[in-house]
Amino acid sequence: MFEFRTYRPPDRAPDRHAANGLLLSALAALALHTQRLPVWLMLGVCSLIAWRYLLENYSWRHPPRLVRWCLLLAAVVAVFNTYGTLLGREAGISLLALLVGLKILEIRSLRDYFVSVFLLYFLTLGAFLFSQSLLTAGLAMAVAVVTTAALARLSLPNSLPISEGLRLTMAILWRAIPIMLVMYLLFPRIQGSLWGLPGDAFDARAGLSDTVTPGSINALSSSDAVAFRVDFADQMPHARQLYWRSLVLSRTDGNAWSRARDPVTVNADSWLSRGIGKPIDYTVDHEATGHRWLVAMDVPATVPPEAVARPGYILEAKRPVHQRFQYAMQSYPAQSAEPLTSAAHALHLRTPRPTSVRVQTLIDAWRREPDPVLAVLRYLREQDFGYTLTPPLLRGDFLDEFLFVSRRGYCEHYAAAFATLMRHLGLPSRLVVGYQGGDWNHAGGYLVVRQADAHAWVEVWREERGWTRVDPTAAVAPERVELGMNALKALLEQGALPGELAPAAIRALLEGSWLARQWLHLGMFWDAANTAWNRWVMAYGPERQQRFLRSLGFEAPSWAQVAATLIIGVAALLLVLAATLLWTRNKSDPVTAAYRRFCAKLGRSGLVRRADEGPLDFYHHILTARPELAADSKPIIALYVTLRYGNVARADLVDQLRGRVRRFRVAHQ
Amino acid sequence: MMDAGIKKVDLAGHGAAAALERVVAQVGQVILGKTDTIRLALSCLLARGHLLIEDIPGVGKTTLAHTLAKVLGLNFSRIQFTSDLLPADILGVSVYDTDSQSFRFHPGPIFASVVLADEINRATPKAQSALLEAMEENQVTAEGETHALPRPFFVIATQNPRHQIGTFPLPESQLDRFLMRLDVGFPSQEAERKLLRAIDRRMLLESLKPSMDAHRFTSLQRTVDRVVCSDALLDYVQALLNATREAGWLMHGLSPRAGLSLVRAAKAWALLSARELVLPEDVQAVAVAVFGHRLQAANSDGDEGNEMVERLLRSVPIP
Repeated sequence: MFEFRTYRPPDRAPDRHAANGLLLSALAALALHTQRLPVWLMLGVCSLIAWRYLLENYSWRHPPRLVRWCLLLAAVVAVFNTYGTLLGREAGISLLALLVGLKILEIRSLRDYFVSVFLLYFLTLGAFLFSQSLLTAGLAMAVAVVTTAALARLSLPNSLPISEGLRLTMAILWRAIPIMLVMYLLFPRIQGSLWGLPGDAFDARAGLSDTVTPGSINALSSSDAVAFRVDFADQMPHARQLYWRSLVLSRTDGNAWSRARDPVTVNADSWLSRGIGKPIDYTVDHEATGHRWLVAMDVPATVPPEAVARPGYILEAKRPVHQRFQYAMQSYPAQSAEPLTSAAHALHLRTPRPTSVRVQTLIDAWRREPDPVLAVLRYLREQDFGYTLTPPLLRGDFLDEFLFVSRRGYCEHYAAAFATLMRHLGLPSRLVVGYQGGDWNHAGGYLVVRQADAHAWVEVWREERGWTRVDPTAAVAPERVELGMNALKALLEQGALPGELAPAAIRALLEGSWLARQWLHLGMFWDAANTAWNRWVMAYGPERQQRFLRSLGFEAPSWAQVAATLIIGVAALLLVLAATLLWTRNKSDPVTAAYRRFCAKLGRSGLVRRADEGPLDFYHHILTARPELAADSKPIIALYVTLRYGNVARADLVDQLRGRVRRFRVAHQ
Repeated sequence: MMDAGIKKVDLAGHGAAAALERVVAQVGQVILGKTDTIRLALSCLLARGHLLIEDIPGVGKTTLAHTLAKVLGLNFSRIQFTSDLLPADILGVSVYDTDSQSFRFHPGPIFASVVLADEINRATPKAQSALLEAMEENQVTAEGETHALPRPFFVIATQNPRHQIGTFPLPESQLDRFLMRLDVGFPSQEAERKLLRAIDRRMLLESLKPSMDAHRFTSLQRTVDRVVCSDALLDYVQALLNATREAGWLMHGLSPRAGLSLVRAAKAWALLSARELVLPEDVQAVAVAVFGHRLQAANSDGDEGNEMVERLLRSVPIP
C-alpha cells in the first residue's frame, strides 16, 4: 500500500535525466497529433525538442532572447499562413504544439519545467477534439502516464531511482480515478456541437446523398468506413432480408433521381398496423453522418423518439446526426398493401419520354408480356449484362446507352434503369437508397454495415401487394445480395464474373490464407472493443445523463445544477483524499505537531527544513541562514529534542514548547 | 559543535564525555586531521564492535589501531596475515611440557585486548575463519579446551581494497561481523605538511601516555548502553531499514542485525558528542560506516556502498 511521503522540493535544477524525461513526454504528446498536423510543423517542433536535447546533454548554449522572439513570430506567421486563421481546432492545436516546443526550448527555472508539463497535458487533451475513439483514449492515457512520470521525476530528488517516480505516478493516477468517474458522470453534457467548436469540427463525411446519378454510389464502394452497426434481439435474419432503407427517391429527369419535395410527416401508428409476419427487434448504432436520414430494416414499424416518420417508410432525425447515437427499432419482413392516392400515382409514373427508337421498341415488346416486371428481369439476366465496380462513363441518353451499349454497371445503374423502365411500362415505381447486407462480427455478436455496402434498389407498386421490392442487381449479380459486398469485391478482384460461379467454387475462392483469416478475426475483436467503448462510454450523452441525474433525485436537472453537483462531488472527493493524507501525517503527538508548525513558520520565510534534516542540523541551518532567529529557535529545538528523543513525557514541557512555537515570529526579509 | 543548549548529563557521573574527548584529542596528535575517523573508530570500540579499515597502504591504518590501543591503555598485538598463516599461528598451540609431563597451552597473538589483523584478505579462508570465530564467540577453543579472551576484546582488521590478485576477499557473511568499515583517506594539505615536518609517528607513539585503562574503558562501554534511544528514533531507523528493503536499486535489504548495529553505534556516537540521547543526526553520522559494507547495488555498475548510503539518507525523511 502506498503511503504519502514528505518529498522535499528539489533543491537544485532537475538533472539531465529529468529533462530528458520531459522531452520524451513532449514527443509522445506530439505523436498523438501526427495525422492531423502538417509535416513542416511536426518537423519544426521535433527540431525544437532536439535543440533542447543538445542543450541539456551536450551543453549547447541557450538561444538568446532575440532568437526566441523571432522563432515565436515565425511560428505564428506559419500557422496563420497554413490555416488562414489562428483560431479553430486545427490552427489552435498547431499553435499550441509550436508553443510547447518553444516553451521547452526556453526552459530555465524549475517553474518553466512545470509550465511545460501542464502545456503537455493540454496538448494531450487536444487529441479529444478530433476523435474520442477507444484508440485515442488509450493513447492519450499512455501519454498522460508518461507525462505524469516526467512530472514526478521533476518533483522528486534527482537521486531517487526512476522506479520511485513511476510508483508515485501510479499512486497519483490511481487516486485520480474516482475524480475522473465523478467528472465523467456529472460534467454537464450539452446537446449539439461539442464545446461550441467552430465549423471545421465536423468533417464532411462520406455517405449517401439525397440525389442519385449513375456513378454516385459507386464512389462509396471503396470506403471501409462503418455506416452503422446492428444488434439483433434474436437471430440475424437471412442475408436476403438485410435491406436497410434510408431514402426514397421518387422524382427523376431520366438520369438523376431525387426526393419528392413535400416532406410530410406521417403517423407512424399506421406502419405498425400494416406489418406482416414475425417482428424483428434490433438496435442500430448509427455513426455520425452530418445528415438527418437514418436507416431502418425493411419494413420499419416503429419510430425512435429522436426521429420523425416520412412517407415511404423513411426515418428522419430531428437534428443532423453529428454524433454517433443509438436507437431501438422494430421491423416486419413485409407489409400489407396500402392505397395509392391519384397524386402519388401520377408522381411515381412521371418520366421523360424515351428519345431512342430501340428503347421504345423494347418497351412496346414488354408491354405485351403478362408480367412486365419478370420480363425485364429476365432480359437483364439473359442478355450479357455485367456487374462492375468501374462502370464506363455514360453520355447522352442514359437508358439507351446502358441497355444497348455499355451493359456494365453498378447497383444504381440497374436500379435507375429498371425504375425508369417500370414507369415507361405504366407501373408506379421509385428508387430506394440505403445499404444491403453487412458483415457479421463474431467477436461482438453484431452486424457491421459499411459505406461500401451502400445499395440502391427499386420498389414497384402492384395493385394487389402495394409497394414491392425488386432488386435488379440481384438478377445480374446474385452474389451481391447473397454473400455481401465484401465477398463480391473479393470475387471481382480475382477476376471471377458474378452470376457465373457455382457456390463451391466461390467458397474456394473466398477461402483466404490462415494469416488473412487471423487478421480478419483481430479486426473483428478490435471493432467489438470499439463498439463496446461507444456503447458504454461514449453513448453517455445528455439524455443518459438526465436519466442518471433523475435517478439521483433531481426533478428536472438544469446544467447549472449539474455543474454544482459536479463541483460538490469533486470537492468532497478531494476533501476525503486530503483528510486521509492529513490523518496519516498528523496522528503524531502534540510535540511533533508543534515542531511542524515551527518548521512551517520558518518555511514560509524561505528557510525550508529538508525532510532528512534532523533538529540539530536544522538549528545550524538557522544559525547560518538567519542568525537573528537563532536565539528564539534554540529553546524550541532543545525542548523538541528532549521531548521527542529523550523519552521525557512532561506535560509542562510540552506546554512550554507549544507556547514558544506560538510566540515564535519570523520577520520577513 | 553547538548543541542548541541541550542538557548535557554525564551518565556515568564521572566525566565520561570529557574523558572520551581527551582520548580523541590524544589520538589526534598522532593521526593528524582525521578527527571524524578517530571518533568513528572510538564509537565502534565503545559499541563493542569490531572494526574493518579499508584503504591503500601508508595512510595510517596500522598507526590508528596502535594509537587507539595505546591511548585507551589496552594491550595490543598484531598479526600480519599472509597466505601461509595457519589458525594455530593466531590462536596458539599446546606444547608438551616435560617438567609437568602434560600439554600446556601457549596462547597465540589473539590473546590481547586490541588485535590488529593486518591485511586480513591475504590469508586463506581457514585462517580468516579462525579469527572471525574468535571474534564472534569471544573465546578460543583449542584441543578441547576453551580459553576465554580478554575483556575488552577488539579486532581491528585492515584490508587493501586494490591489488585483489592472490587474495581471499571476505565473504558478505563475514563482513557482517564488523560493526563498521572505515576508510582513512588522504590527509588534508595542511595536515600532510605538518606530518612531513614532524618526527616519525612511531616514535611519537612510543612517548604517548595512556589516558585510561581497560577497567575504565569497560565502564564507559556500559555507559553507552544507558544512552536513551526513543521510539521516535527507532521509527527513523526502521524507516531506513524499510527503505533498503523496498529500494529497487539494492541487491537486498538490510538485516535486523544491521539495524541493531546502527543503534549501538549511534548511541556511542551520542555519548562521544556528550549527549544522553540519540538524535537522527547521530544515526546519520554513523550510517555510512555501519551500512556501507553491508549494501550491494542491484546492478554491478551501480554506486559504491558509501554513496548508496548517502543516497538512502537523502531519500528517507525523518519521521
